[in-house]
Amino acid sequence: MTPAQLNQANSMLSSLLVWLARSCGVGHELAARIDSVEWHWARPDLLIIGLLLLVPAGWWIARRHRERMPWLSPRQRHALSACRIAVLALLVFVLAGPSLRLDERVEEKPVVALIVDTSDSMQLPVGRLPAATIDGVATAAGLDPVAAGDEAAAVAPVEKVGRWSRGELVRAVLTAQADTTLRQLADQFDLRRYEVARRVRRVYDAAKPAGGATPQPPLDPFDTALGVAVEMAMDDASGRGLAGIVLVTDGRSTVGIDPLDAVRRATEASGGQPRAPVIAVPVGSIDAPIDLAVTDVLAAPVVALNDTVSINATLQSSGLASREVAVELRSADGEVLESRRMKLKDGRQQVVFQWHAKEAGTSLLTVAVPPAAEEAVRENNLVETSIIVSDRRSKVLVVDHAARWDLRFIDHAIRRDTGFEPTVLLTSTLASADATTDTATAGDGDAGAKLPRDVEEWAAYDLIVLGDVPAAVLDVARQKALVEAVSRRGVGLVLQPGGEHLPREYADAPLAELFPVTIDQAAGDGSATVEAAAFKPLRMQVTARGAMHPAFALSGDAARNRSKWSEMPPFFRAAAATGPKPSATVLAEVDAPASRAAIVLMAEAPVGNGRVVWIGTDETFRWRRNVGDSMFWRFWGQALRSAARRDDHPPDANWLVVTPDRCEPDSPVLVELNLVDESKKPVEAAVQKVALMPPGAAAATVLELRPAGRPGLYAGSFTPDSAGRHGVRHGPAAAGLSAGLSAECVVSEPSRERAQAGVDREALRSLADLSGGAVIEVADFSTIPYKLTKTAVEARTSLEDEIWDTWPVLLLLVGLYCLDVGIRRLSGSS
Amino acid sequence: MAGQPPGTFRMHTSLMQIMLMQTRHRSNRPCRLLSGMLCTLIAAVGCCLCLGPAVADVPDADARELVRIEAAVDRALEYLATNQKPDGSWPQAVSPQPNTGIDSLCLLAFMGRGHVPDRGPYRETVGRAIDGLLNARQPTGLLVRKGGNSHGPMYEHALATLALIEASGWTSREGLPETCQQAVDVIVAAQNKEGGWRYQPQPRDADLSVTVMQVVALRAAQNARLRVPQKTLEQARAYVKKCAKPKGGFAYQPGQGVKDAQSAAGALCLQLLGDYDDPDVKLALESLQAHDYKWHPRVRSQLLETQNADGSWPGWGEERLNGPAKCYSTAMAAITLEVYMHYLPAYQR
Repeated sequence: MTPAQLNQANSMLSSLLVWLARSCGVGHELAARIDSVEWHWARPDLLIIGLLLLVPAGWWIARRHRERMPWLSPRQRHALSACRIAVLALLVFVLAGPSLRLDERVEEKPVVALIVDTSDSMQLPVGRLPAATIDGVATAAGLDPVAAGDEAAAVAPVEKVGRWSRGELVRAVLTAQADTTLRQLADQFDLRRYEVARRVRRVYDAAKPAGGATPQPPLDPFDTALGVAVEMAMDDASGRGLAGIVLVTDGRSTVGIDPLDAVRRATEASGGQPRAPVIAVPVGSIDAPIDLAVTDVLAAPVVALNDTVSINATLQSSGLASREVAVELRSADGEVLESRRMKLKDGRQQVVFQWHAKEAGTSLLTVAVPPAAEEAVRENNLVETSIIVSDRRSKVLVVDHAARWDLRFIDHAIRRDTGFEPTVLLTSTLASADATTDTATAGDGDAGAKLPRDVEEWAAYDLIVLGDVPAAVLDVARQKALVEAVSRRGVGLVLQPGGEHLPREYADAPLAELFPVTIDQAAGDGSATVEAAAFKPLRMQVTARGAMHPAFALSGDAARNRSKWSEMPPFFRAAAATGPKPSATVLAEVDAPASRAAIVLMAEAPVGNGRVVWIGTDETFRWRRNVGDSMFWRFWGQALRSAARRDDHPPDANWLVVTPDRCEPDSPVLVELNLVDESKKPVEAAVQKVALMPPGAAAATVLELRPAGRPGLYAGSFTPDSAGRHGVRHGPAAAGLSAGLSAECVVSEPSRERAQAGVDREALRSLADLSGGAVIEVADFSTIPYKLTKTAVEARTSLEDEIWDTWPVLLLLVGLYCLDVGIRRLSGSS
Repeated sequence: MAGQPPGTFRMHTSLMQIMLMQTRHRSNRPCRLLSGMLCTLIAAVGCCLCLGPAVADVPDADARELVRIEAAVDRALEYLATNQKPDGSWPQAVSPQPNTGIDSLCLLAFMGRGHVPDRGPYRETVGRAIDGLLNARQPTGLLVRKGGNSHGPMYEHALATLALIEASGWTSREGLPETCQQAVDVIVAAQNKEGGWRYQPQPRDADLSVTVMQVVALRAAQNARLRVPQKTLEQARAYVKKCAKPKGGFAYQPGQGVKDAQSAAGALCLQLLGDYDDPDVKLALESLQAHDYKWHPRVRSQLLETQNADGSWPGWGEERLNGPAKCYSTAMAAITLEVYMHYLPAYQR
């Protein structure tokens, strides 16, 4: 045979095998991957015996037909005998159990994730590119290469690319590379493409320049969740080889997990080996654009009336060194309250304003710096902040047994906060025989403080912060009085247990009524605590409801708040709170070690007229890491204020409150409604309805509020999806009120994306270094396939299938039967 | 400091002086850079506390730098844990017996990273260190072992007092509160008529270097609500003010010239005594920042670059204090880097 004939024969054999395999029920795709086919018999002995017996049986059938059917022609007789012998042969065939063993060869391509940043910052101009790379960028973007020596032509791509936005450059590059680099990636790898802005979206036609035939709407472009995108790409590829993650971005990640943390976690999860190299493609000029931005404004969220407070603004500038600018603090109506001149230098600088809180209520302040003519971005020259000015001071009693570190920090911070009148009492310093004597050592205004004995003494405070106090000191009479003060007199209570006394000694004590959680008293060998393993500390996870709570208020975006607080440093011990009581709201929890259920770390519950907050760890001092008091006291100050007795929202009045009253789109808003009738008794119902009035909407929608822990109080939440004033209204008809209740939440889109105009190359470099990847400039985009080294994995699997119960066998049997019957009919034998 | 014999437990060389030297001379002697590491700590903490001018650089490290800092400190603590002796002390060459000053610095290095007693991965290490310090208590309340001090015991005593008071926020070890109070009483009793302290636990003469250590310990005691007479603090303030110079900065003793280390110490003293806005603080900080405005990131970089592979740091000219292991220099470097943690309550504003 000639080689051509040999090939033809092989091809026919292969086709026959595929046909046979498909006849056995093997699908098209699998049939195409069949590497070899082997025939097997389940009972070969029966086959041999059957075939041996078939010879005499065949002879006997032929003989009988010749003797019994002499009227048939020899041809008809032979055909009839052949039919009978074939049926017997088929029977032997079936009894022998024939089967096909298919060896399947599976080549599994490793995944490559291409993540393209589509956020608002990608609309910033590319900026001036270095002369050495302009040709490469132009080529990568599909612009005509410049002929050597043609200086006039060389200017064209420079200007064209320079005029583009970062996003336009990315689109041009992906379009130009669709049939080359992207196709090469798709051929070698399982190319998966994602678009990232505030959310992450998988694009299913990865190799096409625009990511598919149907353009998708933008993904909330006012944030970039790079870390989330990296995590999603890695999760999607779980169980598969991940050759790399190509990140086409300006490097600014403004929401969600930090990309470095995402890579670090994946590395830890895979035993210290990087999960996949990140190939970072920075989009934009190496030089920082000329820009001056107000990047951050820090101020106490709540201050007391007539306080003078510091407002700390951070400026970031580049390309404007030595220039003098006036940084202004403006009121809501644009009045310049204070102006400070400063000489700029490249990098970060701080300006501190002093602001006098003259009016109670919420004050909206703006820190602004006039934009320079040559600035690339002008939207980042001002930042707004709101400060609540309270016209009352809360009297707070902080009681603990020993000066734990949290208490030492709270002690100082609460004294600096003019919204509180604190008294700090250490029960260990009280005279052992009589707990009512003063703390002789304080010497700072607390001398003479006594541990309250009765309801009146407890109710003299708006808030009690109770630490790890022994039950022997806080005796039953005092506990009962405290319960009464909270439930009847509206005193707020914050409980911060420790490892020795609270909650262990209060299992059946009156104080336990106030716990918003249930305690596993047997945990931790009877200490009612949960302790982390040495190198696996506990991590706080703020719940969705917690992210709306005033204690965790940080920015207008609840998801951002939740993420930020959930990133607080880990800790080692928590009270063993196994679940919330029915009226409680879980604000934060931890994944407990050793297969226990999740531990409630923080919870809040209304108790009568008061409010109780549970903070299940005494290691919040760790939140000072790198930032000092700013996160620590942010939480504590807000938590104490939220729990303290409030005159503006008493339980015996009608009120409607939304929290927060300023937020960003898609951030949940909590609505609380308190209803009493004319005799000040709580209005009880299964549900209360309020009307939601989005800005510009013709009709209101209805939000149902459910009972929230105590009679008369109802709560629910909604998520505004557009900027503007979102009104909430409760009509008078529902409760016989003389006037309706209303509140509003101002929703505004954030400007974080443009806060810093430069490309964060350092972040991308760190990401590449940590993951074992590389930073590839746009000009070198076509080299990406060569940076990805993971090769396809070939797997072989065997599939064995019996073939006697297939349709060809049935067809053959029916054919033989028909032939037999037909011959008999035609010959008149039956 | 004058007249101090060689080989004693001295921690006076100013970070500021050394940074200045490095800036001016760029010598090939990195060992000189950080030889006065206690004052490094004082200066670092002091300047972080004092960032209150209208326009100032941002003090905190960015997130990526913080990861490097924490990793470096973690390696250092692993080194210290490995080299701890069974009695809770650490090897050193300052004194023939275990030195409570060195042991306290090592203990503070652990607590400054958040490794507190009775929890976490170093619970045994920290617990042994506390027990070791408690066992060193003299009947007088002095926290110095016999034969375990250098030129004078008040440095060691102040450091041990500070470490035990900080630890007392976490553990209910028997005798710990009483020991802390007794140690504070020793400091109170050793204050001289001018309001300062010197090497010996007797109220004789005084200098700002020993005084700053006592003031830090007293501040920690106040935070822990131990008994600290207001009069003691007032007199300490008066002594520190006496050391202040009209043109800015502080002297080692009243009447002497300005030294950068003492300027940092004096500013820190006044801050810890509550006088954050004292004009002498402002002048001292201005004089220090005039030498090298961006000293803090440079110290950080220097430490990150010079850490040994085993997690330790070299002695920078004070190798003789280290002895068989580099625990002293390692603890000092770790504490200096831990200023970013803001964990030790004694140094809070």
